[in-house]
Amino acid sequence: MKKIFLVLIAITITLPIVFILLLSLFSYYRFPLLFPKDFTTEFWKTALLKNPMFIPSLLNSLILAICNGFLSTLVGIMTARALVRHNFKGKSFIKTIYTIPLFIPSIALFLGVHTVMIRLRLINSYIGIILAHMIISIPYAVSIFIPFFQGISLDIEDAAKVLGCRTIGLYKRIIIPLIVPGIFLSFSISFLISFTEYFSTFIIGGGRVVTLATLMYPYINNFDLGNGATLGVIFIGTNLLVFFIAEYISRKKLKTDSYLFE
Amino acid sequence: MKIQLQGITKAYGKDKVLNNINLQVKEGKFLSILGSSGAGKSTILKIISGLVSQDNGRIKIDGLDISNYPVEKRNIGYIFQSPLLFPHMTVEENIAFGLQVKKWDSQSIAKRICELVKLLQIEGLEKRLPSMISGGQQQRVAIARALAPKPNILLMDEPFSSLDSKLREEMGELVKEIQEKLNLTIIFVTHDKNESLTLSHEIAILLDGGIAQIDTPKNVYYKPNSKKVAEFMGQCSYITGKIEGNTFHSSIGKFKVTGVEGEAILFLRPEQIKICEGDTFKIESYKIIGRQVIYTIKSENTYLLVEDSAHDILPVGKTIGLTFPNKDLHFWKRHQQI
Amino acid sequence: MIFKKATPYLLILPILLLYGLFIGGGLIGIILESLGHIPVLGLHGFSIESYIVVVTQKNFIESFLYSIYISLTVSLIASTLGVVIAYTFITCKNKSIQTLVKKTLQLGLIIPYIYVVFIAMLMLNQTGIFARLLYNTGIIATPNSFPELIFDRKGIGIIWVFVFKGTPFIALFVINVMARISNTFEDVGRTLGSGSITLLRRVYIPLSSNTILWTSCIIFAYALGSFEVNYLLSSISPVPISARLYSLFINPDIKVIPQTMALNVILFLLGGSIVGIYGFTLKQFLRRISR
Repeated sequence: MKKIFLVLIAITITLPIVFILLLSLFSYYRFPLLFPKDFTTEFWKTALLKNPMFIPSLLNSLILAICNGFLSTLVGIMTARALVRHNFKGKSFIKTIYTIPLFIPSIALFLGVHTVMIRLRLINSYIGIILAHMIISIPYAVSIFIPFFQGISLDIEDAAKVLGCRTIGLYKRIIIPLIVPGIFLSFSISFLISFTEYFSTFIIGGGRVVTLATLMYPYINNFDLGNGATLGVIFIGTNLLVFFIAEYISRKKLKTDSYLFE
Repeated sequence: MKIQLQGITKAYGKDKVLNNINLQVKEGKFLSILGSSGAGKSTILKIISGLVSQDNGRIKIDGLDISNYPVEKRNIGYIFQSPLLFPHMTVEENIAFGLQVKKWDSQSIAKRICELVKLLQIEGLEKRLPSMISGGQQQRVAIARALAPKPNILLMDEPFSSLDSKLREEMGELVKEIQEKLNLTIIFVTHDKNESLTLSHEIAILLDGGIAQIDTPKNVYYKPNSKKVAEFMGQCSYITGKIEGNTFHSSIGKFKVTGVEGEAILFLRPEQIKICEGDTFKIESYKIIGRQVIYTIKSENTYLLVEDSAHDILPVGKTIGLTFPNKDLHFWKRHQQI
Repeated sequence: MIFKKATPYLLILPILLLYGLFIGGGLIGIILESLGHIPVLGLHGFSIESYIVVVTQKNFIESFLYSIYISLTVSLIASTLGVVIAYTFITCKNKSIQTLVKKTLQLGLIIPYIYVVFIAMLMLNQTGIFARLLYNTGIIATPNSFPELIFDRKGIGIIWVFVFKGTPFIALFVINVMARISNTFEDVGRTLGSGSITLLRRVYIPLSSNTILWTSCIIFAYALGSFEVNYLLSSISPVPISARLYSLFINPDIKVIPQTMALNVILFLLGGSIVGIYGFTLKQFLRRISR
């Protein structure tokens, strides 16, 4: 029973993706037909070669996602560290508000961010988009690092200090190695958020900074089956590739089975 | 109630953990399973409770075969190494958990909690959360929780290993007291010899996945049935010789015995031999263990270990005499020993 | 020594700046604009007129309730499914199925919402894959007899997308917590005589309630306020509140800006509060079922 249920869930998620893959390779898909037919490479040629926006949008997506991954992870570490190890005025305030961006309806949140970006002349810029993505990635990053810092006992840090470790050495040799799994996790989630984010990229990029997600919009709006499906496959494929590489590295370095949600 | 294990076998892959385990605990008895870590002690308890299923063999409680019962139908209490109290429930709610599962009505639950709280001397903690009480108190609550549904058998898996030595002794006494008061059948797993020697009616020595010996604490210690058990339980000396007539002849002397004739080995614990004035033996070396000292004494090709108070240590090389016990001696047949 | 005292403040500086400037500043910005104070455009008024216009507009309440209905349905289905999947996952001891399910859940997580909209169209259309399946098995005779599931009044398409995305999200987070609970408390619970439903209710759910709560709230908030899904799959009437807000936003008439911003402020504050109320109610509910 349990196995059947779980396998059904797996099929429900995978099935549409199989169809998308087929639709990017076959052009004829009239109504009663269950599977498309007439093999073609036209959609792929269009997407990869003929579309001048494809390569720039792919690069933009990667650049933004990587920057957001690093910066959100950094801010996440800093904030979590402060919340776990230090006492300061306003600690409980930070504790309550750090997740707040996730609970504000995102369109309202980003239209607000948009007005600020206009004033700061950050519209149409990478920095603007990265900052916007950071707002919705940092809550995850902070909540990932809090348990990691709670897991490092004060004794370990004291032992390092007694052995003559200064603050920088402490971070480099003790803290960072202990939170490496968290860094992988936080980076991947932030990467993912940025990579898949449409709305904030679109309004703050103002149509100038095109990413894979915004490039897809017109195809989806027009329900262009072949081209839409192809871009989707490319999107999912790129994402899987990045995750595969990250997982490979983490497995080699951390010797853990699967770092994502482990 | 009485519990019987018959021919229990368990392997994880190629790794044979338990090999043909047979044992029986009578109602109201306290059995310790003693073995080194990794010997499969916990696996036995897990099989009895149904958390792990055996590859072969049967488990019977009062003659009823429960081998294929699911865990929740076996009515067996289990105390784990750490208290494992549910952190979101108060002490009272923790104790009530097993009763609510069994659909007791709230009045009987309240009454039962009252009894158990008194029995385990944790009055006043009922409304506290586990995080607000000490480790020793937590383990008491865990015992109360396991006893609440009136289990047929209580299994305890090194329950005091997270406590300090003083608390350990205290908890041991408490458990012993409760066991006698309620006439409980307990199987207690430990790697601590002293704990098992003081608490149990019987000790089962588990070595290499099999039960090497089951006997009273005194017999397991003074009359081990093999060299392995003997050495597992502590230091000892072996004296080889021959039984002829009613006398055991050996290099260190003659002993009056009633035994089967033939080559034999006399087994002695260090505290069974006493030092006296004399010049037959010479001290080779010594080792201080707390308030005791163990001398190694050589006589021809036999090494003897002798225990004495560390209050007045004799120097190496001094010649001494030894007195040996003259009754209740334990012999092995020569061929039996290996 | 002074440096030491300053450390925590330096550590929280980036998050404070980011949140203060963009969330706080953004809120102030939209409030000012909603009051009609937009100096760049020569508007210097301070009035709540735009709020009155927005609130009294036709179908405003309807839109809002419609969005709440969608969010509520989505988060309840996704949370229930997510928890059930997570618990089934934990108690199913088959390693290869666990790996398979985990990978597919992760796959569900990496597809962007906008692309799931595409998938929804592909699957749920009257000429979509489900309709084709039913047609080919002879259950329906014409595509028209397949119910309208997207762009429909009941918001089935929108709900389907959010459930498709939300369930793996909740399931993965809850699996993470439940795996730890299983390692510690599964054996104790079982030796105390509880079956798997009791264990789920009395031990697993209360101990993972925080995770269930906040993942569920995130999905609720996202369904309430996301633009792309609501806009692309919206029926003509009723219109989800976020799609309504976006239509106002892209209206080139600058006189509409205060109204846009008024609606924005309402969604920002009211939406946030509704998420709060939802979270509070869910918390009470979870507490009740674990008794």
